[in-house]
This record gives sequence, structure tokens and C-alpha cells, in this order.
Amino acid sequence: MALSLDNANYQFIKMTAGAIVTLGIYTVLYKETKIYRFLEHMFLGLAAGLSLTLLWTQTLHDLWWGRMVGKTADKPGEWSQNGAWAWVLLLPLAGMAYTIFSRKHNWMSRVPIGILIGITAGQAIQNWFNQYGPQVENSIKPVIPTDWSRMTVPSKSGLTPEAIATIDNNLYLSQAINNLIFLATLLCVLSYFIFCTDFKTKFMTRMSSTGRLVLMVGFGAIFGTTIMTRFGLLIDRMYFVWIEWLMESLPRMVRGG
Amino acid sequence: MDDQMDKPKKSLGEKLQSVSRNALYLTLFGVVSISLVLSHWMGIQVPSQPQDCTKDAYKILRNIPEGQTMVIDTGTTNASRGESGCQMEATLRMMMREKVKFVLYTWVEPQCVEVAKSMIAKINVERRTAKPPQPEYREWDDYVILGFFPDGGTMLQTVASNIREAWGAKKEKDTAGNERGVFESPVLQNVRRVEDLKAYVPISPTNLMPTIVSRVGRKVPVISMCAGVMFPEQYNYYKSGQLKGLLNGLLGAVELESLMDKGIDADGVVGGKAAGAPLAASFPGQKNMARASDYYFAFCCAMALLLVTILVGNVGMMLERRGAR
Repeated sequence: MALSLDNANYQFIKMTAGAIVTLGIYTVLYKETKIYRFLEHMFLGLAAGLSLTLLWTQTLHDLWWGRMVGKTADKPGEWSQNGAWAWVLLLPLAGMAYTIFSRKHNWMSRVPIGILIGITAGQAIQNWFNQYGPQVENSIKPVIPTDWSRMTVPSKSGLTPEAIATIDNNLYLSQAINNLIFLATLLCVLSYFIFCTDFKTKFMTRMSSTGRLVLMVGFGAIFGTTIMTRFGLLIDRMYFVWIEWLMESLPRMVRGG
Repeated sequence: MDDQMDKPKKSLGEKLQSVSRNALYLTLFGVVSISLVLSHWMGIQVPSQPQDCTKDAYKILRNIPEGQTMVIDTGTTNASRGESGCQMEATLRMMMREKVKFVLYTWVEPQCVEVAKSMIAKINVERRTAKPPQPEYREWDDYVILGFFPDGGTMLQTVASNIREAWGAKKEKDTAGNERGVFESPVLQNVRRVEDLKAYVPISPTNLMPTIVSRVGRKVPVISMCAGVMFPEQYNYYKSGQLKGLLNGLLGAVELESLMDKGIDADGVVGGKAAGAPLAASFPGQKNMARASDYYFAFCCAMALLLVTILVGNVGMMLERRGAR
């Protein structure tokens, strides 16, 4: 029996192993069993080994080794490049990071760490504005309607581009109310995070309490979506065990591919 | 034995609030398993109403011109197949049908690329066995794989300023088996700046947005396909215009499949028949409702079970409080 990816037997063995491991991992829901501990260790070992291999084949080989040693084209049309020996200097630099495990030499690890922090800090200032600038800009919203003739945004169906542009440029009452709610929420939440002074007025205290309430609503939404994610992952594993393995792969194996 | 006999009897309210954890897990497993098998046998399809953020994502992806290039930044592993896997498969199907070329890489985990490769292989089998058969998507001609970048932030910073410098060292084998630079491939040969890419699609359960939008967000339309748990945070980026489209976990993947099946007409109505060119056409007669739709009935059943257990717990609390009075 040749083991190739197209081989139905190999596929079945692979899927059976997957199903056993899936069910074995789920035994932790009952209690921390030996099966679970064994599979946990196996997973970590496989992940570490695979990552190391892929790090070389997918990253270091092209980005570092290939640039350092260069390549002569074996066939016409193939890539060739002169080597650049200076890339070898990265090896001791990277090696210095591991001196962190030695009490005597761990000062050397500060060199690569310092370089990385320097690069990150250099990027940080520009990127902070790119990340939050548009959000701050978008938080400043108009609250006074420009068209009082109707409550909601009219339908754009079958209208000319000019008419659609006019609708887009107007602010209707429903949009203004939405914006007002948004601004009130924003200000309440921000007031909750003012720690430099005690709020003496009732208005500010209530605003801060409302901010806390609104934050709770936000956290509730995040918790809800977290549950949705966990359900999605469980459903996928159950689909793998019941449908892909038991109802599709097993009968295919019994039928002989 | 005596201790057990001395134990006070639990009231109904207390019993409802103290259902054992194992019983709840077992019920959840039962509900999910039965609903999955039923849905598979009977082909149950639960309808969905796509959100605006999913529709915006679909409009952009559906209207990328044939032969143009986009980026798929994957963070999908087998562990997140329930959400990101569904999104990835739907996106790959769309790109292959539209003949859009793509660049695939990761800076989340090295194994993500391997998982994406197996998904491409699976969809290629689908295409080969379809009636009528469709051509397979081929590495080098139709897509290139750049592998794993250990420092995504720095890589994207370089992509924003000089894309050829950032990816120039990456090599791929062409169709004749010769190793060549990726910018010689039909996928990237016309890409000189990041602005030449038609979309940047991160498909990942982890939160990549702060890194991506701050570096390339102003230069290329970013469409995030995130896990449900990340959706509330990433919605801020969508509302501020930093993301041009956003998919909410499994729900988003179901909506995307539904849009692939129905399309968006000229008036912006999903599945509508308005006159004029549709805003985003459907893919009629093809396998649109796939993995995410298969999961959706079980997902709805699991959510219903969650609501029932919350209700039971609250009724128990109410009964207990009434008894205490």
C-alpha cells in the first residue's frame, strides 16, 4: 500500500487519527485524563517541530540563506543571484539573544532586543496616528439635521446619481438621533476614564455611571460573540467526526476507495 | 451515609440552578451532533439576512476585474476551521471563479500556509469534478505562496513603502519547475506598488487589524474576515472607514455564501431582480452554499440551547427567591 496524499487508505488513516485525537482532547471536559495529557504533549511537540521546519523552509532559506550564499542557475531561465556575505553578520547578532539564559553573558542579549525595540518604536508613532486618527475623526459627527422635511433617509432605488448624491449629503432626523446617541455614549464612556479628579457634581457622577453601564453592554456583546466563536469551533470538530469521518470517509473506505 | 441522609433536600429552584457541568456538556454535544447529522441528511438551509459590512465585502470582492491581484493574509489553522476555514473556502471559491490572482502568506503561524494549501487543493478537486469541469487554479500562474514572515509589522511597513523590496527575496517554482523570483510570476509581474493590489483580505481568528490598517490601510482596500470574538472590536475600524468590509465569524461566512448564491441587485437588495447591472452578481448554478451553511443549523440549535439554559437558570433563581420570602 503506497502512502500518497491521493491514496484513499492514507486519507482514512489520517482522518481516523484526527477523530481519535479530537475525542481524546474533549475528554478534558469530564476531567483531566491521561489521554488528554498525552495528546496535549503530543500536540505541543508536533507544533514545535513543524514550526521549526517551516521557519527554515518558508522564511530563513529565502530571506537569509539564499541572500547570503547566492545561487547559480542550473537551467536556463532559472533564478540566479550573487551571494552577499554580509548577511552572515546576522547570525552572531541573533545568537546574542540566547545569551539571556546565561547570568554572566546576558548583557549581550540587550543588543538584539534594543534593535527590535528601536524598530518598533520608530514605527509606532506614525502607525498610532494611522490606526486611531480616522476613528477620532469619525467620532466627530453632526447632530443637527439639514433636511427636516422627512424623518428617515429616503430610498435611493431608481434615482439618478445626482439625486443619490443629494441624499448622501443631507442629514435626516433619524441619522441625527443616531449621531446624538453615539456622541452621548462616547462622552459618557470617556468621562468614566477620567481618574485625575473627583467628580463633585451630580451631572458628572451620573455621566460616569452611565459610561460604566454602556461599557457593560459592550462587554456583554463581546462575551456573546465569544460564545458564538466557541460554538463554531465545536460544531466544526463534531462535523469532522460525524460527517467527514464517520459518514463520508468510513463508507468510502469500506467500498474500497 | 448518615451525612447524606442529613443533607437538606434541594428545592426545585436550587436544582434548576445547579445542573451538573457534565450534563450540560453532554446535552450540547448531543444537540450539536444530532442537528449536524439531520442537516446533512435532509439538506436543511437556514436563511440569513446579510449585514451591511458583509455586503460591502462581497461588493468589493465580486467586482475585482479578472486577472488582477489581491492578497490573502491567512491566520487560519485547523483549530479555527469552524470560522476562518469557512471564510477562507468561500473566498477561494469566489477568487477562482472570477479568475482573480492572489498572493498568499502568513505572519501568524507557519502552519497557516500549509492549511491554506490543503484548502486550495480541496477546491481544485471540486473544480475538476464539477459539471462542466472547471480548470484548476495553478501555483505560479494563478497564485503565489510567500510563506511565513516572522515579523508582520515590519514586513507590512516595507510593503507600504516598497513592495518589491519586501517580497523580492521570495522564490517560487514556475510551471516548468525552475526556481524564480515571485515578481516574475504572472501574479505579481504587474504589481509595482501596494496600490496595484485590488484588495487585502486578512482571514484570521487573531486580531491583525491594528498592524494592517495602520500600515497599508490607506493604500489598499482592507476586508477583514475575523472570528466572532474579534468582531465587536473590529467593527470600529469598519465604521471609521478603515475597513471596507467585515465578516463576523461563522455568521459572516454564512452571509457570504448566501450572497454568492443570491447576489445584490442594482437597488442594493439581496436576491432582488431590479433592472440594471447588479451591484454584485451571484454565481448561479454553482456550489455556493458550502461548509458554513452546513454548520448553520447546528449553530442555531446550539444558540437555542444556550437561551433555554439561561432561561432555566433564571426561572430557578426566581423560584428560589420566592421560596425564601
